[in-house]
Amino acid sequence: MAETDTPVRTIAARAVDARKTYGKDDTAVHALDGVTVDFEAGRFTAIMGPSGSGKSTLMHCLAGLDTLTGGQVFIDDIDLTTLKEKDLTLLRRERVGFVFQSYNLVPTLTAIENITLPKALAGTKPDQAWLDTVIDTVGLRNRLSHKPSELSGGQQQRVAVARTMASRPTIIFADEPTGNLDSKSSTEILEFMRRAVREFGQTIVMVTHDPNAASYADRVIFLADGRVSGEMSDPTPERILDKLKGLGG
Amino acid sequence: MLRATIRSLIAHKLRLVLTAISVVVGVSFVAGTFVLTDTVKGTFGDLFSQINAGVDLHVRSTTEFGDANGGEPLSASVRDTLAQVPGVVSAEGIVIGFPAQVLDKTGDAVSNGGAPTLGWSTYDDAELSPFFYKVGRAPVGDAEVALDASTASSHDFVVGDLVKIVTPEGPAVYTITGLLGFGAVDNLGGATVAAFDTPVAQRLFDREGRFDAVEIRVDDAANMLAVQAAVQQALETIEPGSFEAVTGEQNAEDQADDLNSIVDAINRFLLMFGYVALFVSTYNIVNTFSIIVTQRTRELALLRALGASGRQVVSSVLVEALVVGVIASLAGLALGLGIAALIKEVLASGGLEAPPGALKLLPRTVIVALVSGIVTTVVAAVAPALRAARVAPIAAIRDAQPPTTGGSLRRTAVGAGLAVVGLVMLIGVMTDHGPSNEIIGAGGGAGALFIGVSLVATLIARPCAQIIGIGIARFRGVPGRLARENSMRTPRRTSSTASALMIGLTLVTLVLVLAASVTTTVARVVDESFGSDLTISNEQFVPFSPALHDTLADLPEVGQIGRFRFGQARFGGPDGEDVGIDGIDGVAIDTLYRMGIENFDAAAFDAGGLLVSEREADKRGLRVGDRLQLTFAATGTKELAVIAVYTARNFSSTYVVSSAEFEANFPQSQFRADNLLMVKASPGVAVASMRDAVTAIVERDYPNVTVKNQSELKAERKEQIEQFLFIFFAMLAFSILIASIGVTNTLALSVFERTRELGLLRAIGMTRRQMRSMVRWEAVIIAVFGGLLGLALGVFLGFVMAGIFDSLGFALDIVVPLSLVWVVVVAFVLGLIAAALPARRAARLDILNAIATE
Repeated sequence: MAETDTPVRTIAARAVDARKTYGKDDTAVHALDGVTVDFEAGRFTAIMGPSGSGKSTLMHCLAGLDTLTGGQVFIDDIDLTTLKEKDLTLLRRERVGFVFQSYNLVPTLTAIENITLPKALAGTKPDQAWLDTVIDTVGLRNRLSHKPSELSGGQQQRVAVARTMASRPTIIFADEPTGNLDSKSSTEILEFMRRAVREFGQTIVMVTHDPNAASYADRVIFLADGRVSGEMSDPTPERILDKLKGLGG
Repeated sequence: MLRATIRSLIAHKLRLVLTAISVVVGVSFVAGTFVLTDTVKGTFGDLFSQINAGVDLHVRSTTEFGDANGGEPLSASVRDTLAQVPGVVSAEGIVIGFPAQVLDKTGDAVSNGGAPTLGWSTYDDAELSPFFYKVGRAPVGDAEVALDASTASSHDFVVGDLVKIVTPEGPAVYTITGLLGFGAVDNLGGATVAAFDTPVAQRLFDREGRFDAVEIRVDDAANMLAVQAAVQQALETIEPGSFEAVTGEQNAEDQADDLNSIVDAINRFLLMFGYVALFVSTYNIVNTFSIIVTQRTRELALLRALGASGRQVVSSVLVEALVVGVIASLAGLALGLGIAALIKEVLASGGLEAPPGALKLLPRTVIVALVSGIVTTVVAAVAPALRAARVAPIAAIRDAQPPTTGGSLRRTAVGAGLAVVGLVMLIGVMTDHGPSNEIIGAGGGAGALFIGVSLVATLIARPCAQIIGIGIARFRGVPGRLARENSMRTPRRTSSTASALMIGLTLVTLVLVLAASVTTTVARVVDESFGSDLTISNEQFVPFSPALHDTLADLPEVGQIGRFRFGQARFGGPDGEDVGIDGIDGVAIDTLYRMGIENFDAAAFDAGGLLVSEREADKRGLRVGDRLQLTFAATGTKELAVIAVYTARNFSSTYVVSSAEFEANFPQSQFRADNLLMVKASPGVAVASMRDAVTAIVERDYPNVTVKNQSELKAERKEQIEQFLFIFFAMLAFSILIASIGVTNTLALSVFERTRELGLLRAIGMTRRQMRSMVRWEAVIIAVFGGLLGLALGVFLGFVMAGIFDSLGFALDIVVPLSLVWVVVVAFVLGLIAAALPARRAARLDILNAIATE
């Protein structure tokens, strides 16, 4: 499944002149001020920027959790701004995966139930072979019947990643997935995400403020004041830090 | 601290409003009951004061116990003697007889829900008369009558019309000469009144040469007390200790007492439901405050970290409860007044006319309503308040997740102990071995039992929710599975919410079981008791004219006929235990009415012999040949000989005497009317043709009774029991409503508490419909759990009560009816309804806000 050098990449998600404004007139705050960006399929993209740069808002809008006040966002060439609430829910269920900073799992369900939850909500059966692959990849085989409260923070995030991968979404959005983890667990999670992209061609977009975490990505997009202020391929922590310093973050 | 409390109140206003509503409903029930019964009592009090206003002295025979006016009639000579007493202006002998059943113009019986149909003598002295002629004049002679104006107007009778009235003498047609008013109203508390010329009344009601009482007007110039003493003196010379002369006011009180005791019984019956409703609302209060305290853990910890003492935290929660309690109680009081006003209107339209604008709000009502509402709220908040005080300051910093508490062993043990104590108290009350105060015994016992079972329920909440949820988890997909998990995650919350519902449904179940058992038992007793072809009775067992017996006895088709009357006496002296005593015609024994007596001695029976039930004989160690004392209200203590012990389990519970002996001891006219007739066709006559002959007479002259064979009698009884059931359900509906509000409340709070989780579910693809479904099925699981608890406890209590009845002498065939399925169905539906609001809220949840709640 090595597809690192495919010449023409399809676009998994993109934003076209995306605008999000809170308030009116004088008091208006432009969280997104005309963002146009493509996220290629099979790549691991990090979004970075100082607090209030609009990185979370962009991700929420791309994922159909929040609505734009102007412009468009697409997933698989579907214009999210034209969808109704119900279709947005179905789109999230079928084409989008989420990993949040914390509280990723339903506490009443076991690890395996959490992993298969999106499929179950859709009323479809998971692909068992793929499920096994995912479970082995995240190394949770012997923890499947545990409830979240019986798992460590790192294990919980691994279950969350496994859940997003299990339904083979078009795109996975990860919002500070390592924000609450120690460095060892962080490294594990980031390694998994990179493997998912490299080995299985998964598309991942991660919002983070940690240059080390961002360095696992293939590409980093920098946001400032609601605009794209730069991007970087094959990043290293040092280069990212330099760039951030330049942005004043 | 006070400011923090007020702010908390405002912040939690929705759930507090929901909590308050349950208190409002309970308090309004209690307040409304008091206002209504006080108003009705006041109405009767006013009425009897008015009609006795002109009576200075009321002379009657003394009684041993019970109704002060239920004594033996007085000889007419008593009146003549009293008329001679100095200071007496006029002395009138009066007759108040029963029944005087009026038939309306279509031939139907005029009846106001079983209220008495009275026949009254007229007065020569208008000032003594309880009524006056609004229209027309007094009736004179055999063929005239005056009717109360209310009956006349509601059945289109006017002066000059003919009306058929059935008295103990039988049916007769009278010309209406006047319409009666009673003070300001047209009606004597729902009773119908027909006034006859005094000699006619004496003849119709078997009072020839006698009166029920003598009423006296005293010279205004004379000393009332002196005249009263002189009258009493005169009475003593006639027969010492047999008569008494009381004031008109006293007689008004005595007359009202009789009705008041009925109103008091209704009051207690209704209050019971009011207190049950309040009790159920304590569950809502405990739940709401527990959850609020849990949610406020951080805030409380912060207050503690800033130096608030544990006591300050407790009082902040209690003050919050106090404010809710005061507001809810005041609202409940106002609502109660409104309900009472409404019911009064309904009663007025149903024939009970009350003076306008006389809703009685006694200080006692205000106090009871406020105290019960406030105490309920504050006491229920104590446990959550204490828990709040235990919040450690460190919890302010930690991300405190509400602890999931299950049923601890201690909690279960305490619960089981309470349940047993409660049950023992209840059994004690019912078998007269318990606390002397029945209200405390029954209320405390039921309370302890319910709280105990609720505590034990925490232990079984998880497995029960799991089992109840099997179908839901299986067929309702992921939302169903999550609903089941959610119902299992906080067993304490699930069990206390379900327990609130359990209380009402336990009582529903118990009533259903008892009703089914009584129906079955009655059916069996009917089958076993009657050897007759037909029975005749009023549907409400109101006694009817004895003339029907004599008329039917004359029919050639009727072979045998026997009458049946119920009365009450006291075993031993006037302070003895109440015992039932029946009067039956000797000819009916073991022919029309099975008693199971070998070698029945009809002559001894007719000569005043006593029959004793086997159970009563065993209980008191009585044997054939024994002589025992029974005391009758009117005739005093009599010695009777036991001539047989009967073994049949029939309608007679303890003692049976002949009709003649019964009449000798019950001179009051309501006891000289028949409760039941048993009829058998003449040899060779088909039952059907005998029935036709009997029915023709009944339809023509006695429309207040029905003719039925055994299976029709059973059906009639069954219908009556079902009507009674309906009243119970209507009353219990309030408690069940409150418990449903509790389910809504709990789910709303759970939804609030699980905001993050619900946000996550929505983010990863749960649709709004699935979200609603999840909340709804959780509610259904909780509600069905409550229903099953109620079902189990109700059936158990049914068996306990059957056992108690058995020990008291009423053998009950316990039946667990299929209709109990409805209890679970009702719980299921209530769950669905209760979930509507929180489900909507969960579905409308703003995902971004939910997942952003760090």
